[in-house]
Amino acid sequence: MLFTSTAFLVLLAVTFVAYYLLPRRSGQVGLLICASLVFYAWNFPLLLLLLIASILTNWGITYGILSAPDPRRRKAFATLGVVLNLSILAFFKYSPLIGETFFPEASAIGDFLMAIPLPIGISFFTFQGISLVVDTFRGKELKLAAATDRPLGLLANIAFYLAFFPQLIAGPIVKAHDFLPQIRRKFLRDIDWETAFRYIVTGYFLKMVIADNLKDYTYWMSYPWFQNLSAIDLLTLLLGYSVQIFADFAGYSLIAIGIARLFGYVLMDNFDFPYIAKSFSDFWRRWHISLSTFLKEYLYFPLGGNQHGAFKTYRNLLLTMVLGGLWHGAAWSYAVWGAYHGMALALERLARDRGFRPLPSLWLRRLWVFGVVTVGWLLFRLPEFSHVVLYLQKIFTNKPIGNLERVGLVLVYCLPVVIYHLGYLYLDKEKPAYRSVLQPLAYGLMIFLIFTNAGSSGDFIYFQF
Amino acid sequence: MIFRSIVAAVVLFLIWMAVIRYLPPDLDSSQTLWGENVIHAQDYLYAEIAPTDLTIVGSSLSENLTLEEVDSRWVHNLGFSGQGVNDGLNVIMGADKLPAYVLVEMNVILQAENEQFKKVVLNPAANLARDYLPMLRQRYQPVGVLKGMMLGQSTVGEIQDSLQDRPINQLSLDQKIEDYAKGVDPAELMEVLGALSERLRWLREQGVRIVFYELPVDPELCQTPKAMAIRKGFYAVFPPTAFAYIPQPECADYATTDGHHLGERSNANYSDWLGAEIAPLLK
Repeated sequence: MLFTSTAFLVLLAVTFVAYYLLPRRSGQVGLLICASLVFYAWNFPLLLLLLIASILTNWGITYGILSAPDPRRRKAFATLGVVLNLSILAFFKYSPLIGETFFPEASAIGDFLMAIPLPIGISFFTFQGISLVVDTFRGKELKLAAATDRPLGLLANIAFYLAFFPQLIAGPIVKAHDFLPQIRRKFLRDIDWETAFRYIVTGYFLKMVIADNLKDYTYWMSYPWFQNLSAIDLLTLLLGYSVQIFADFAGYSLIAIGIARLFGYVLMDNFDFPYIAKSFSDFWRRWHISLSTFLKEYLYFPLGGNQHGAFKTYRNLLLTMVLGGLWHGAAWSYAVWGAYHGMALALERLARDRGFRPLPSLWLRRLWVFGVVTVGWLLFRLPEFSHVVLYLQKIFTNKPIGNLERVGLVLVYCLPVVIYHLGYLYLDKEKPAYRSVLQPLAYGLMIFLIFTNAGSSGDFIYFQF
Repeated sequence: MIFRSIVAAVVLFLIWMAVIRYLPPDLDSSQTLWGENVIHAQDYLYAEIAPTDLTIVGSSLSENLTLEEVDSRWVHNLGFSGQGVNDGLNVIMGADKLPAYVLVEMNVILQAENEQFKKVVLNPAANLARDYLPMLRQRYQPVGVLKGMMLGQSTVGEIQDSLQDRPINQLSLDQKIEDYAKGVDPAELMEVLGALSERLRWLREQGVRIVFYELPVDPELCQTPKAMAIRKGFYAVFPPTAFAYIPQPECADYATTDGHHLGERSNANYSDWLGAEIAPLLK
């Protein structure tokens, strides 16, 4: 179910009203679980079985960890939980890639692996399953009493945590230790309406006005069409795609966070104005924060982080980013994209360790990071690596000027995202003029454009991950 | 803040409602091919359709036709880029405003209908809102209107952007030659034509007359197995004894840009020729 669909708006309205009419916490949690299952099953009801299987698996493992008498057995349960979650992810997400790479064409096993469908949101809820298992093992938040006294209550909380519909399909990836303590009875009077309004309006604006409009232009970046375009078209579309992917994903995250607020739950911010990052490590502190912190907590630190010398630090960075890249999609181009960012991070760290700072100006550093990140998005847009190389080659070999109308329109749709970032840097949000005039005008304009200038509705890019 | 934001939005809506009343009716506010398709469909939905008018349904091959009037009857063009005959028929049937004649393109008949387009264009609640509030229509998107006002009529769409003398057009033609040589799956063709005949039967029951036409394409494609199979399929399901046909003219007389789409001059020539062929049918 899309956030932009009528069906979703109806589900949201009905759930919201019923939620605050219910007198008990368990009733509220039960309602949100039901709404989440409807949300997930809407287009492909069969996939619900997988989500339910994931919930039951994680419940069983969590119960096992909490009720195991000795640390060794607890560790065995936790390891089993991580392996099971990763196996579910690997089977559904990477089987086609394995089939394509390692089995000859028309082989029975290869065909079987290629035919396995990718369930929507699997990368998100399996990572949350890992967070649940690891956090439980580490003794964060889930107490023994909860499991031994009320196993069904534990099941309800786990089902709610894994399936909560605003973040079920494309994040933010919520960590168990952040979410589970928030489960309690919620009241209408506690809603922070202004914050929810700001998140939801900005999210819908970024998705419907910016990303959905840019999508119809960046379509022309597909192979073979891009070969026809002039250098300026190719560069502008690359910029447009960089803005589109931000607007699409940040838009989804903002809507998810805003809707969660309506139900009294605070989800972590997923984007912090990433395109003003002044270094690659800064970029990863600002882009898809829930994934980068997840990878840091559950992969980079366990690998040793930066505690075992320079070489191992670079290795850990590279490994974390390659696996992070592969998390995005079952294609080698995603691994290359991860390696590209891993190398950028490692080289940046190497340069810093050696005291080498070639770009003294802050803005030059920002532009450098933005440029490198933007070129990297080509690996997302064009899954064939040879097409990425061809695209870059065409920038230098095609005629310089082409369709200026398209260039102008793409720039117009990029402009609000530029203003969004510059506003963050330069606007004094404490000034009365900002709060009383500029802010309402900006939100009024966004509402106006959501209704009058939305693009063709499309899936969120991150749904495929 | 929420209240002030909503007030600001309402003020902007009111200003925009006033502004669009004074826009020139022929302002080109389309921004993308999708947007252009939606504008054409919405123009049809919200326009006055005379019971004597003609409506074209087809793909991007038909979209560029410059046929506006035949024998003092208006021609409404529901040829859509990247889409096909069924999308145009969906609009006609969803609009509940029937023309006297529907001209059905034969060339790209295997194009499946676009569900997303149907949802966007024929959503009953949104349609009602757009009927009363024209500012919600695609034609009046602020960015498109601004573009139209700045550029006037001298816009260049994506189709024209990929015109001749580019290697990709040769690549496109080569792919089509390969595809057309393969023919079509007879079962698939019959299924598509069977579904089409159901819709056309309903239109005929409402008194609408159907005319089939086939645009000229690159001479290397005209007599290929696929083109001939489609033609044969049409004649089998819609016998020429019961339906009017305007057959494909001599392909060598026309030039295409990529094997399928007529170049600018050929398009104008074919539009004139088609108009002349249709006129006697209207008598």
